[in-house]
Amino acid sequence: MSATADAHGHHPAVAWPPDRMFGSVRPAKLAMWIFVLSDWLTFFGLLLGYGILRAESTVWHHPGEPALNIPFTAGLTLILAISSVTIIRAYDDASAGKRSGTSKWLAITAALGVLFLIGQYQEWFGIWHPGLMHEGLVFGQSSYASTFYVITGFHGMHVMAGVIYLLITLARNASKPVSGNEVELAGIFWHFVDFVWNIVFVLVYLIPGGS
Amino acid sequence: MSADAHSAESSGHMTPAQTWVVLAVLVGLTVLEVVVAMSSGGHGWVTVALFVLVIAQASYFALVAMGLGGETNTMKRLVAIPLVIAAFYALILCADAVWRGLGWVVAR
Repeated sequence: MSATADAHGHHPAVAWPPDRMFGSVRPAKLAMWIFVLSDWLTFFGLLLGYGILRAESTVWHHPGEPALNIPFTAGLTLILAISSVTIIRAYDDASAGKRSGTSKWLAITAALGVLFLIGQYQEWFGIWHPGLMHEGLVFGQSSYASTFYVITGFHGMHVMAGVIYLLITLARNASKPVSGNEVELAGIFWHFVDFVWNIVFVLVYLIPGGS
Repeated sequence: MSADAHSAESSGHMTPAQTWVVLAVLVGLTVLEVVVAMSSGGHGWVTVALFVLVIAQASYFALVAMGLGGETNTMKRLVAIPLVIAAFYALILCADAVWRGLGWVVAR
């Protein structure tokens, strides 16, 4: 890598000694972790609002409102779980200098993200089946409906941002090989998206309604 | 040693076999969550079991998949402390909400 950098007239990569507090974590990785933590606090605010509304309500699921399709959403959860593994493979291949392998795993991860978004579109609006909006779950009609759309919609925007991030990394890898560090940053964000979805899946879909 | 190689050593790469283990654990926990949610147990017990499972899954995600387990203790604390404080804050506010909800029922 140093030789390549020299050939292009750039300074060679500097190997800084490990930091006493953060070891060999690079500033970009630390910044990504701090960003992810601040993003988590935004999600936390939404989930906390959901928890408070649900805890103090006497009727959470009103008659006429459709139940959420747990098996279908469990399938979407598994898609994101698989994508968490494919991004690890992309990182490993990028670190090993395997450019085509990196592209392959990044493309698979992005495709799984798109598949998740299609599934969420189906759940909301319907493609091959009527979606929740057509079945009577109307935004603003109840706390149950509003919190559902806000939380899953906010997460869906994160999946879309993650897919765009992966596609940009993929395009950059097509012009010149990306390093493992660059894929690792995309991976931390992508894992975070999956991390949050697991919590949303349990809190919004799986916790049984009391009424 | 280049910066890339140095970082790769510290972050701990996974072999393909290890990535299959990660996938198996994530899928296993998700399936277990669905089974628990669809079981005929009491609401209270199901809720507690789901909270335990989701905390286990989130911890596994952060430590193994996101690679936090291989970082320094300072880095782990940087991530863990906001999560713990937020969870404690949620516990207090949700308990208060339950209390207010019960009060509303009693007043009726």
